[in-house]
Amino acid sequence: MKKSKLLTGVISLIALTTIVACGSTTPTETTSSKDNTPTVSENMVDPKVPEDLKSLSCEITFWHTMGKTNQGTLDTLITDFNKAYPNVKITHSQQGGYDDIRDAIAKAIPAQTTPTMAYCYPDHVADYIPSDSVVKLDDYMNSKKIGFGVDNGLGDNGVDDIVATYLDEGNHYTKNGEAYPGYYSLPYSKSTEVMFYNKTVFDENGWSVPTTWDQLWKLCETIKATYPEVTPFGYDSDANFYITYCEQMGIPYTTGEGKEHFLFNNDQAKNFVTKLKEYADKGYWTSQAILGSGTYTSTKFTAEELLMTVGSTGGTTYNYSENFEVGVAAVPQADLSKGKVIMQGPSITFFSSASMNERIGAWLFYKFITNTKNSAIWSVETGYNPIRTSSFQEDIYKNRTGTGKATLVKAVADYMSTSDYNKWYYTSPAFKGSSAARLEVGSLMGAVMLGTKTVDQAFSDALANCLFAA
Amino acid sequence: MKKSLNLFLLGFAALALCACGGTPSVNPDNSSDGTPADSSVGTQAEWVDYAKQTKLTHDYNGKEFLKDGIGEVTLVTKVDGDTAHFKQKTGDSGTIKGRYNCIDTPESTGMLEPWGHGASEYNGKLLKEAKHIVLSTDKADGQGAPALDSTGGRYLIYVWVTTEEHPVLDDFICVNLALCQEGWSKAKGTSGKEYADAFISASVQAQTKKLHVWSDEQDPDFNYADPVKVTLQDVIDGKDSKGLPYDWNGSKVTFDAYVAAVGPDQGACYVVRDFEKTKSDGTKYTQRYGMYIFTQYIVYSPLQVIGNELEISGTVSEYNGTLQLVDVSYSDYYHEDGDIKILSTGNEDKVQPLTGNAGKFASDEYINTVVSVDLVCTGGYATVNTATTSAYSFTLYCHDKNNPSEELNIRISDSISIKYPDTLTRIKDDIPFFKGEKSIAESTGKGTDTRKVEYISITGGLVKYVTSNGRTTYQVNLCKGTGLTLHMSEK
Repeated sequence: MKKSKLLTGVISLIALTTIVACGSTTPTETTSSKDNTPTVSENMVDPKVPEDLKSLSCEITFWHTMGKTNQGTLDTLITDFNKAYPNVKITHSQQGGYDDIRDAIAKAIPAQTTPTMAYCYPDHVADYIPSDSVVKLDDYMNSKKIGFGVDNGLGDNGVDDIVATYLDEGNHYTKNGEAYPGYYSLPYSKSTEVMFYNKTVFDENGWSVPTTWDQLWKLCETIKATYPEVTPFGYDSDANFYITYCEQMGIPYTTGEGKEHFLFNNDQAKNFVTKLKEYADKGYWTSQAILGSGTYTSTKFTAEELLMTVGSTGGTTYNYSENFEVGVAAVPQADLSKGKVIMQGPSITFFSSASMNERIGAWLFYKFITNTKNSAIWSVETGYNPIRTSSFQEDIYKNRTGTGKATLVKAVADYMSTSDYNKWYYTSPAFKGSSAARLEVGSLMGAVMLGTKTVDQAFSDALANCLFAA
Repeated sequence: MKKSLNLFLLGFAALALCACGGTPSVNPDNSSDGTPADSSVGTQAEWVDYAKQTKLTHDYNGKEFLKDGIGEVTLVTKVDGDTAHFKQKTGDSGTIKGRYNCIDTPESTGMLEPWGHGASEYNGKLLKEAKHIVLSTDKADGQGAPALDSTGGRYLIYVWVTTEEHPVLDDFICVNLALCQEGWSKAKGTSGKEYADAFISASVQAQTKKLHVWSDEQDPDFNYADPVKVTLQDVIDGKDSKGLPYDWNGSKVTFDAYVAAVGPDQGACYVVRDFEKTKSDGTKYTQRYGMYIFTQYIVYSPLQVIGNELEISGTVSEYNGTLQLVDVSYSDYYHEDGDIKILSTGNEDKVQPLTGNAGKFASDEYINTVVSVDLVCTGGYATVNTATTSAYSFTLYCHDKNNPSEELNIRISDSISIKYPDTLTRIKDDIPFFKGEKSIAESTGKGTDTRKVEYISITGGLVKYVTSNGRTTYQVNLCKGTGLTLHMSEK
């Protein structure tokens, strides 16, 4: 205890010296990513938490990609948060899409104009890590004063009920090909993929919903014979189709460790892409790349030109139609005993250019917007998955009613909460270049399916592009 | 300290101007649109006309936007500051719903935001004055077919206009960029885009000059007042609480009404309420009033249940000569004063569709109420949503089933699929089928079903539509597929 107090005193003295030297009025924490292997085991955040936390005063900037509807929900969350922390001013702004926010932050890092917190994908964070721009969150998560599970007037926010795969995503970064331990992002708007199908037509014809790829291709043959003008199946994201199938089949894709990151140029992968080309030529399936113009398969599905489509749960409403009943099912699998579905959707990362008070304010806000109740509300209002399993038990979530497209959001939510789907989640490793790999395998699929490249050429080009980008 | 820094900057700016030796160009829009003069240093800096500097470099001659990603079009309608509908001058005649690339203007249709009206007007002005309009897709989206936005239903476009009768490429300016330059929008989603640098520079310049969305001032065109409690009757009749004439267009109001029909736009509905009126001879009668609630495709649950009695607050707006209510709000979890309130439920008996013949409904009296009528189709046209191959909207020219002299048309949105009876096959571009000139077998090219359409029963919202040549027509706007029944001949 005495030792701890002495250490606190030393740290305080160092901090004070730093403040005086810099002429700043706000203490700044040593960038945790820089002291990755602290010489002391004490929590680095606790000593810096103000005694009168409720009086914490700071300005937080939050960059995201939310549309106007979701921004309205965020505004109400900020209003509610300010009831507990009236002096934490939060301003948020939409930066465009995910590529835009990554680019905006990449420009802001050298200029030291990064926001306090921002939406991110793991590959974005992997790009920020080399410049030590993001905050290591372990000490915030474990803080006895403001950590997960400490109320702080913010509601139920323990760590145990956060879906493990969601949480783990923020803890698997590499730097220069080596594991870089610690949490650098935390989950927020999480989604996965499901298969939507035209239940009206399925019921009319007595078809069963396929659960495996073998069943799916067999059904495609039947559908094509019954409705020649229809394309039976669509997969919105070519990259997700490729990566998910590889994950299900155990086909190498990428690795975050070592120097050889890109493993996808292999015979197994080429064989399955060749097979997909055969099915595409038969008119069994289509995708965004095959359709061109960025046309989503959901657009074709609701126009009744497709009977099944795999898409993001975050985009559920785009699959809703007043014209037929929409069913929800799992993404077909290679092996049902080892199910795999992608986990996607933005997380939140925090930037080390912020002052300590700003970091604490941002952290408290994150805890608030992801507490059990607010995670349930966010899910009900936006269609994203709650990040906490406890949210499934919230009355807001259980008793939600819906009309119109909200019925489909509810159907997806019911499916997620009553199945073991979240045990099938996988994520791909994030490293500098992982976003290029994702982009390239998506392009590869399009090029092969459209016949603009041979399978071998498409794979070798994709690999070359990845190596160049990395 | 701050003051001395400003003085320093002012001096620096003055020196820079002197060094340039010229008169800085003036923002041409700044002096004419009521934007308050800005005394900050920013206005002293040289104005760069990015919209003029950025040239259309891709040739559009002989090309079609839908095939080649660039082509000349004509304006169908301007929707708001960053959305408009066009038709190609040559090639596919479907409607191109265009969403402007790299900008996001404040809302001015289903939702209202400060500076939204001005953005919409500015966009409309440039489009209206144009002698030629060219659409182009972003080079980053590839050459060839243009890209769609995240809704999957609108093309991402750059809109190029010129007032020259016989223009060369250099004569065109980019409307998207002009909107950004004038501060009607911040630059958005520019990453990797063809004109990213110009948009970002124009946006920064507009911010420096505090133009419109960047302004510290309130938007003079935006109504910041609280809503006024009124009756639906007063709004439609154009009277205030004392019975004096009053134009409610643009006003924020609160009134009570019942949900009578849901659709056809996602989230939208028709609300109605009956009012007792007195004729000149003293006899009393009941008159139904209605209003369309447009939510800009956001679904608010109270608006989705027929028979709900609601207190609704919003802004009255005019669309195609008819009043509608926009900018409504509701949250199941965070209630605010201006939100929709549910007063009672289960009032289906108060919203039964009005019935009658076409002649009765082809007038302003029942506008925006929900009606049921039997009609015979005599013609019309179909327009494909160019993002699909099978989603058609229809305008069917019709007359009353029993009186051919009473005209009343049918409008069917492309979001509603109308199928051949007893099949799952969607009807596409085949007006002769609706007219009863072709059988199901002839229309589909399949089977032996020889039945033909005899007449159509429709239930929907009654709307007015003014054609391009100024003729007023009345239409029954189908809200859901179940509101339309095709009565077929015997096999």
